[in-house]
Amino acid sequence: MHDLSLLPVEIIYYTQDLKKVTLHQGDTFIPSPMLCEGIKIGVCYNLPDSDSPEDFVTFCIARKVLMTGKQVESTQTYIDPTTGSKRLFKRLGIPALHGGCFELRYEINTELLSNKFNLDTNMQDNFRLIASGINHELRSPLQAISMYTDVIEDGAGDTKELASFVKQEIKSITDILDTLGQFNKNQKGNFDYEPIEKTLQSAWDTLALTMLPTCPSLDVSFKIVRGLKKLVPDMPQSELTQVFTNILRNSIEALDKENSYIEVKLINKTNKFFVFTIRDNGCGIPKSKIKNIFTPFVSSKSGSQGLGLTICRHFITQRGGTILVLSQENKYTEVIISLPIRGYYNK
Amino acid sequence: MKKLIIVDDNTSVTLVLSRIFSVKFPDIEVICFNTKSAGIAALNWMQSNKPDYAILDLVINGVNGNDLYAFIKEKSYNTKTVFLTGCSDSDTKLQKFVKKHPNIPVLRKVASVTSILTSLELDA
Repeated sequence: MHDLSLLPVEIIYYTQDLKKVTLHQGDTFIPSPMLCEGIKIGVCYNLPDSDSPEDFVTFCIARKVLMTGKQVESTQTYIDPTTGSKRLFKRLGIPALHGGCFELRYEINTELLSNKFNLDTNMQDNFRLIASGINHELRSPLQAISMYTDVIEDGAGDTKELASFVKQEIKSITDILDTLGQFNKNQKGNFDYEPIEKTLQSAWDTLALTMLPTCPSLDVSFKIVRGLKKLVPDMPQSELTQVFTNILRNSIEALDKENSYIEVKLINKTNKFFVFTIRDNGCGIPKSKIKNIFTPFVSSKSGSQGLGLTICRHFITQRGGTILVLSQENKYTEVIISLPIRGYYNK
Repeated sequence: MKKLIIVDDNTSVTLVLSRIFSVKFPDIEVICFNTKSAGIAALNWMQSNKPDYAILDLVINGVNGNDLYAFIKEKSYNTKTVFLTGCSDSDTKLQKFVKKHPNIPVLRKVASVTSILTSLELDA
């Protein structure tokens, strides 16, 4: 189960005097009788700096008792006067409105959303990509080993030195296989479950200890802003630690400013799921590369196997969650994750 | 002195090939491009240099072997080229390339040194 409906979408209704009313699924509202030509409903995708008016949300506004039709007219940019942020919203026209109480119904177009944010969790596709990646990645060290043995056979080099090169290649193959072994972790069993903030802080502390001393000029602030202290996600702590380690490592590697920050924030929660974001103000990801960030074995970083985010997505989707990444080059990267809730830590 | 470029994002492959060439063909200068941005570095180098031989990896991030070959053709360089790829036979990138350039030798990793040299018309 992938609950994409928890992703940050806001439905906003503007009254005639431009007062903003946030609506949720199933809310009823009474449009102003003065607006005989139609009411305006804004859909804020609430994804920072969204730049393409894609139709993630389908409206169906039902007039109470009597169902009426739906009509989505146009998409336009709106500058939120309170925050100054740019948002997209759709105008919904309901002609010949004669008052009455309305109920808001909408659906998220998960297919479009999945395509845009690489949420494709089709197992066959994943398997094909991973199989193709393994095939490609293992052949290069094997090629090197094969050629080293050719050199040894020809007696054209120091055997001891060549043997050490061969061992290095065998190690790189083993490293790839070890990383791939993480996909095979048990899904069932006795796992430890911890509050998310504890796991997050612990992953950060470990990384900060190992990575930050290598870049002394970096001044990083790590903040867990709100709401995560007591939440226990339905994801084993070992998997969650791996997910946070991979994401935070990417963030640290991307930081390049004097006042660098990584901020974790809860943004949405229901009885069963919660959504949080991990945002950094690092160098961001170029548009041309963002579509491949979950593709196994694709990385532009030297020494990287290109499996970090693939593993994150694997763990998260296996537990019924969702992950997507938004980024703007030279400004920020934001990872949005939804996870099922296991419970609350009460001590 | 003749020049050979080896472009592969796997450092070991380029190093061992370079070693083999330096022993077998000391009159050929070997230039290796083996970082994650090997393709763009090779392209920059070829703006002002003409390679006599090229061993290119077909799939690299960014500028790939296919792009480099297109540049070689565009410049009308008479470069003897062989592709070395980790792609499987069923890979669409490989199939497209072979269809487009049926006369260019494409060797799948793991390839023997002899087959690489023969493809470059060098005495194995």
